[in-house]
Amino acid sequence: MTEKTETMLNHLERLLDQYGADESRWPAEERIKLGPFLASSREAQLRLEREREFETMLGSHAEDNAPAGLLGRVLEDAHQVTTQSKASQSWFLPYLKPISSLAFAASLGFIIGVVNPELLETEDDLYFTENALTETITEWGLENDNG
Amino acid sequence: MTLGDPIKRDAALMREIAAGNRKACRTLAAEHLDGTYRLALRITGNRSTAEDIAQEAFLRLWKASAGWKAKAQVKTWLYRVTQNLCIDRLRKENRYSHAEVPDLADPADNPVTQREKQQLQEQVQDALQAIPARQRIALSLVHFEECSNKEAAKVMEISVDALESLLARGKRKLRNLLASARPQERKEAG
Repeated sequence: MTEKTETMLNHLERLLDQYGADESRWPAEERIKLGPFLASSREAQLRLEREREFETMLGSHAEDNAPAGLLGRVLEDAHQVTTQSKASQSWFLPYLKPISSLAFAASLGFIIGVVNPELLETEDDLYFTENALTETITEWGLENDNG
Repeated sequence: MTLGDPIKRDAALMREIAAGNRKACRTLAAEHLDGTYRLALRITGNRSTAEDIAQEAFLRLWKASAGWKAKAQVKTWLYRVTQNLCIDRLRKENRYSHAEVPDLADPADNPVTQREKQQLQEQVQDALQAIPARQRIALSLVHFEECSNKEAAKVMEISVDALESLLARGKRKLRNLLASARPQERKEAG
């Protein structure tokens, strides 16, 4: 084996390690570079063949698909997550209850005020107010009476 | 939606998922669940663990749907999450190591039967578990899940050169471990 052939074989070996035996996965320039060598060298063909065989052996292990029940569980998770997410996207939802309570109370107060404005006003209140006012005015008068 | 660009296509699907579209969920799950499960199975070597990890990876995907940006393919993202979940699991079980284990026993005397095929599969699985985890991940992504070297490097968050080095070392070790099980070698030995 010439030194050039050995160098090319080592190069091929490295390429097989890095990209595998499927030539379509090799970088284009490597395909061009190694094409004539692969066509002429029996040793190179043998190495490529061994690599294919090795990958076929590994491939015999590649048949496992996800178990049947897993897809259902994954989709159920998706449903739960997206439902929760949609609910949390309604930013005003946490404020909805207190705001509606306040709105109800305000409306009730307004209606009561319109229908019966004197409902909460008692005579005692009036009396107290008058007294208080009288007293205040009296005090004010006395304080100003400095003569 | 630009169907030609997988990143944009995935982003559009993720928007649909965030909006509660169950068909979009089914589309992504159908495309990536088997691959995610297989990757987890090859890294951990345990079916039940692989199932849990695949489910967890998808749960994280659904949660990420609302804030998804068109920066990566779903496949790359999922495989990266799966890889990280597997590494976490292996660490917990004290199985994440760069150390290599002895070669497997020679099965050359076994007859060529269905049982031998099954045995071969078991040997592949054992051999995969025997090589260091990062080499196993690199091999699983490139040779089993058919990621390009660039894609696999992205998943593993390493350079393409580093990935190729992992691939070369992993393959050499795997080839040595499985040498005795190869028909060609047996023919030559016989």
